[in-house]
Amino acid sequence: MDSGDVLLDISGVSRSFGDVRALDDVSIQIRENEFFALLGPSGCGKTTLLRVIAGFEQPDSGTVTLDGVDLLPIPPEKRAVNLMFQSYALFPHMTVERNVGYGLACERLPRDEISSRVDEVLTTVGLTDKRNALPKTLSGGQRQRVALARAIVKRPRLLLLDEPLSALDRKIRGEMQMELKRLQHEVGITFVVVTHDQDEAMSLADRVAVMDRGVVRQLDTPLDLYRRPRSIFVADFIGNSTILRGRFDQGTWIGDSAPGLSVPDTCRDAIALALRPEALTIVPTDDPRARVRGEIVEVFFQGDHALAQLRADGTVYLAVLRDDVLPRRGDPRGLAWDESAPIPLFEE
Amino acid sequence: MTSRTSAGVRRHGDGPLLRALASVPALTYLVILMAIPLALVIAYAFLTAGRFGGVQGPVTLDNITRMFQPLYLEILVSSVVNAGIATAFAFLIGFPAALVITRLSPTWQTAALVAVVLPFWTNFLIRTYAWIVLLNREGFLSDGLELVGLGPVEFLYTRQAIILGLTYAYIPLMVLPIYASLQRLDPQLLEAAQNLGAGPWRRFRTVLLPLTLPGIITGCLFVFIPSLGNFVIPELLGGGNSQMIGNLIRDQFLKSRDWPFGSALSLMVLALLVIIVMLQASASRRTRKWGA
Repeated sequence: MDSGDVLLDISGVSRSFGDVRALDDVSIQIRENEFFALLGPSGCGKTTLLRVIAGFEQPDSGTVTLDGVDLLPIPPEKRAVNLMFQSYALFPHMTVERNVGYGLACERLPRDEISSRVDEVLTTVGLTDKRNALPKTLSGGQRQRVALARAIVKRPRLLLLDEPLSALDRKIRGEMQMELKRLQHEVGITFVVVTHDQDEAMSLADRVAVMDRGVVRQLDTPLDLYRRPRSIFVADFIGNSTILRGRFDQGTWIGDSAPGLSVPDTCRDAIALALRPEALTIVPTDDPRARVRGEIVEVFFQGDHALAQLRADGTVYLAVLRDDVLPRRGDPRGLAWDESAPIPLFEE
Repeated sequence: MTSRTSAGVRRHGDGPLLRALASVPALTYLVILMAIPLALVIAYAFLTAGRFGGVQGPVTLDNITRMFQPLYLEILVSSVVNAGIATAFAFLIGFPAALVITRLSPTWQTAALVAVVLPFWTNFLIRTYAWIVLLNREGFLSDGLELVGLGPVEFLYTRQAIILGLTYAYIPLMVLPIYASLQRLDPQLLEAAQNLGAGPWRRFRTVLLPLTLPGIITGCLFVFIPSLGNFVIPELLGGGNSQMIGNLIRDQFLKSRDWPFGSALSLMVLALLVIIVMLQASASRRTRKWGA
């Protein structure tokens, strides 16, 4: 770890439910003021990890420290960690003001201090006019803001967000995404967001831990996760890619597809190669740059660009189309790419 | 008749008539078993007792004023207190019981709920008689206390025995509605409260209690109403020592043959219950505002 100010240190944490290992020797260090994402498909253990940090779940083994203090013996209500629930879990019988002030009332703060801090945080999320509204009269986006306000008003050391945007419409989701980022800078709290949505994780977080079946598969910045995935799982989960299984043999790639492909020495220990769509160029079959030749299977128009599937030697490649004239299904085409384009993958 | 569409059309066209017909059984029931008896009770309350039962003229307010004599007021107050204490005990036992049941696995939940209603499969009188066996001087409870040097004690024919009997008899009616409202409660709300720093007591007071209030109020009514009017339990477990309003009313009709005064007392109980139900209705209107 290059930075000294570790806020949350998760070390060797395991948790099983019956035969299922929800967390398998998980170690993650989260830095102060970081926007961190736990990303993975459902059932990968990210929610269990979140519940361990919040205190609703005790790990079978391992340690969790916050500011160097062992967190595990501390009951959930005493931890300087607040959680924004996926369902928001707003108290239906309390107004927005009482919902947001709930955590402060638990600290037995004087009434006027509660009211001024609630004011302040309602201003931050832009909901001052909804102070006396009941949750059920609010829209989804407003409820989310109340939940967020309720979680940050206690000024926790760490804010956990469980699938914060999943309950919102697509359009509001984009707005809230930017708002979360802005808020994180504004309030200066460390955010840990749990999500199955790679776009959410990649666009929000400074660093992302990709989890699969209880194991952290890779922990990196979004850019590195995309450019340098280490495993087939991560390459597949983050963005689109074409995976070529095989092995390295004296500068060429031996596999079912793309026989005799020449690859750099960095691929020496790889078990597979990943090709990102934007690294591939679709060329006429007689183009000398073409490394493989096949036919177009499908074309997907995306607005600002288009994606094409091309089948060659039994493998379906996904490539970004740069031409204005889209090829049609069944057209013969070749695929070209730079020698440095294939990303070596070393694990399943 | 055979196709689904024809059934649909039929329901649509004959709606009003069919609906009117469908309401006949309920209306008949209400008129014969509610409206007419109630009208009779109201009428009797303002008449004079016949010599051998029944009623006769003249119309009078004597029965109403007589109810406010200290002797009768005392019985009414003690009935309300007994029923109130029984309701409170039923809540104190029933709420935790319902809470525990909701935390069980689905199979055990079903088993526990069956166990809760199981006593209803036995006759009410027989169950009450069973308490006599348990509570009297030669009963299990007294014998048990004697073994540890605290007995023998006579529990039977005390006010405590009445309250115990009432609590026992109606506690399932407390558990079931509370269980139903606990079931509907989102468990994440309690986790949210805990996450925000609320200890167990605050979570109970600010989240669990207000959100299960409709079920609690229903359960309390289900226990309080039959307890207030009950005359079997005071008779069997209370002996002659303390009477409740139910006994008094029964005695007016069956022993003193003073139907008008019995009717007046019934009206008083009815009025009391109407007030309580109205309070409940206004409370549940408030909770409905919170939405699902």
